[in-house]
Amino acid sequence: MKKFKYMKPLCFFIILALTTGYAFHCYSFPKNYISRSYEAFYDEPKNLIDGVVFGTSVVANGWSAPVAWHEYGMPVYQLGGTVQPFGPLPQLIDFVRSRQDIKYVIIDIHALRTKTIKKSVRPENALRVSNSLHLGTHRYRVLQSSLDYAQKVYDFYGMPQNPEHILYPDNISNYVPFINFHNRWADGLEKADYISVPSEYKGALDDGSAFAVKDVSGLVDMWKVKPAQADAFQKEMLEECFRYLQENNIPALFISYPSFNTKKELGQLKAISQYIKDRGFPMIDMCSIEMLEEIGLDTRSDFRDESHLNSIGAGKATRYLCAYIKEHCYYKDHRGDRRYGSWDKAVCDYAEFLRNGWAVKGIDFHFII
Amino acid sequence: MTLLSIDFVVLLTVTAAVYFIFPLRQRWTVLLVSSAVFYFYGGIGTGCFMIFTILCIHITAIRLDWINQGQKAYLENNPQLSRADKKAYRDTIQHKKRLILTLGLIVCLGFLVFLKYFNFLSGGAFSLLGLLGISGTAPQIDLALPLGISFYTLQAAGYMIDVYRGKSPAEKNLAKTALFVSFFPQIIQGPIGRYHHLAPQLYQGHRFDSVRCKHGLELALWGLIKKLTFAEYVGTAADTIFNSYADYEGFMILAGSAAYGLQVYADFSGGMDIIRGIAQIFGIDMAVNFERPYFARSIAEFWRRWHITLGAWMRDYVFYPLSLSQSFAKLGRHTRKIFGSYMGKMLPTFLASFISFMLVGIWHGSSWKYAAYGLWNSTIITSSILLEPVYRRIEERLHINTQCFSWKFFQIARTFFLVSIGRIFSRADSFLTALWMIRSMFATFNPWIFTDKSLLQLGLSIPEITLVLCMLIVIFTVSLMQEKGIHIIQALDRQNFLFRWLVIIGSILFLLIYGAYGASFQASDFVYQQF
Repeated sequence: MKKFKYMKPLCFFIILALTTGYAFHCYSFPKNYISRSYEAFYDEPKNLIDGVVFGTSVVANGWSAPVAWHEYGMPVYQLGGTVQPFGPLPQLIDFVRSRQDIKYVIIDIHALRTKTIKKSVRPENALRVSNSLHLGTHRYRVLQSSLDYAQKVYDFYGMPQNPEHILYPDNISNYVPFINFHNRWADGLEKADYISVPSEYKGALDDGSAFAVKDVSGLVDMWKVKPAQADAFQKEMLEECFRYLQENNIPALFISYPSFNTKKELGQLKAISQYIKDRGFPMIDMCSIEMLEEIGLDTRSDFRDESHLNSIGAGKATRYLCAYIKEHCYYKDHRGDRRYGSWDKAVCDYAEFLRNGWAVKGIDFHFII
Repeated sequence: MTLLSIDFVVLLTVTAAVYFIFPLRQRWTVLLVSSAVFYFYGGIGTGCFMIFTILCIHITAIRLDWINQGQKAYLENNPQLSRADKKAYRDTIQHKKRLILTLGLIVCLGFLVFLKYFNFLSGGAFSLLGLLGISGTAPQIDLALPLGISFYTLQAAGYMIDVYRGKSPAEKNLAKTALFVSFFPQIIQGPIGRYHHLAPQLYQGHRFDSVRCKHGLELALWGLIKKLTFAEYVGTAADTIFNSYADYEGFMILAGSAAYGLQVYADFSGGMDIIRGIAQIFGIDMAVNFERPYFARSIAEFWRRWHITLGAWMRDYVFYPLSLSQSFAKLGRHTRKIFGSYMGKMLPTFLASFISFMLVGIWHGSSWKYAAYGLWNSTIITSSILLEPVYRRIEERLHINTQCFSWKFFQIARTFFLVSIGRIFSRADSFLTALWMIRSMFATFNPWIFTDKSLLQLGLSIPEITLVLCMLIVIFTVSLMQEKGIHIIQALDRQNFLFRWLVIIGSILFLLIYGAYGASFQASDFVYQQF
């Protein structure tokens, strides 16, 4: 009987841990397309994905994984998200590599604009990715890297004026987001907060913004801006990334999705693009009129807003990038392989999603898939 | 370090682990070290005052005890002394003891008066001088008030007086005296412990008792729920009204005052439950500070149920010594001649009561509003005693059944109303603001605020208001059960373990989810911590 003496308290603490753990899961970072992308990524069978695209929201809006699969048989996953910080990229790639034997990575450089760098280390942006990862060493490493990155940003650019924008490394809520998000009870939680709802389209955007259209044809002259100078911090971050990629022998394609930011930012993007090219890494800068024509993007119909492509534009940009990867990097057509059934399903579902979405606007979705 | 910080949880966990590992007789040293860590965590600075207080009361108590022992031994060794000799000897000793005690109290209370009331007193003095045509700038000191000074000073002073009276022996070990004054869970906001009750429990090592530990944690959990899921939210409503008092009038001010009253109750009694629960883990039974004060049927009863240890301290060390003193007896004889037997007898008692309540008020802070708070309470108590015969006659004439529920309910509501008016003094920015608010409360009749959704615009969202109302029902139900003599924790113990687990785990989840903590809330300290 004595050995069962501790069974009851033990059971109590197990039940307590399970229930609080579930509460921590529900009352966590508000679920969005990023967390759903990561959730779906966890569900992917091991070692089937060839490549992953990283970057800010331009990637989330601009990479259409179902199109890449449908037209090239390329299983390339999208793990970009709103103002994603550039700093924890090596840790994120490590995380991806722990699950998938990737052949290359595609990295968008919008996160290296000075304004985005500063914005990316705000608590709500810096912690979004780490909060989307499951508990474990990778989550911890990404979080630590985000905190270190924030510190470096503060050291170089100075502390934010608004105290709410400061990411305090000692804050325990960095590790336990529940502390900050438990008060979401007053806003009302949704089904997605209780049960994980993974992305159905391999990370491709699945909300109404995929169908938004903005005519940005009047802005193309902005792209004539001359390259500015990449600052020491931007170079240092790139060098760290290069070092990591070379040490781990990971082929990388750097890209800059078409966007119309301020002239200063566009100048920075051009300078960063040039720096990457000078360092001998492949770089596709889509922010030029020539590239626009080469990709076939229509500035009247393919943009969601000044900074993002819509699903039509995403399809075109993805096609272009796939063709480039096929020619210069790595190519294996996986279509027909039984193990990739979920990708075929994603294409069907995405097509249905697009058909319904664009039908409202009177546009034939077949143009995209 | 505050009771609601992660640091405190870590300190408590480590203390508990080390306490139960240490040899039984040395366990009090663990509490002492933890108390020092707790107190000096934020810096040594103001802690010096506590060290001086400990040294002062230790020396005073030792000296008084030595005299007590000497007196006892002398009288035992000299049985041949006549009554007159004995009296003369006792008077000499008493005089010496009184001198030592007075010195001890001056030093001990001097720190409190100097640090807490210097600016107030100097400002008041210079205002008076200004009235007399003497102008000048009042000197001000800018020193941070040491944590818990109002609480530990009274506890320390009480100990000295107890030794002086021969009620308690003096503690010979300075470290033990330090522990008595600085026991870490209680130092910030009490309860104000008595030496004969608290000290033996602190010094005696306690073995680990899982049931006692469980009960302590349950009590602390209940305290946390009251503080974080009720006091913080209802406090937002009170703050909305008191911070913009000029925008409100009539019943809104009453609502704000009632909200503040509920906030303070949940906050302070919640804090007490946490402290008592924590102490219980170490086998220490702290004094009860609250006994459902809002069930009181008179202000006098309210004060017997509210902040009991402060009330008892004032009763034992201020009210009784004053009302039983020779000068008050002389005053009684004098007033009897002027006002007759009843009034003449009561007047010195009323005066002692006024002084005691004035001190209770001023103890809360150095402001005229706190003096008015004390005065308000003593006025109500005095007038209710004076008018008692009138009430009795009215009850008899109108054939009022004073034993039925409705009458008791009326008395409870009346007390709550009077307490709420008093609360305006303690919460308003200043004495004049409090007067303005009370005038505005009575000058405007606006019952429509109960129906035009004004009460929904006090800084709380609809879900938060729902939470507040639910918690109000829970706290009321629990209080009612306690009032009926039901010991909730023991009653819970008698239930099946599945139900018990459901209640405890449910409460923990409730606290974690609905508690007001984290980035979106300003982590506010306990209200009484500032006193």
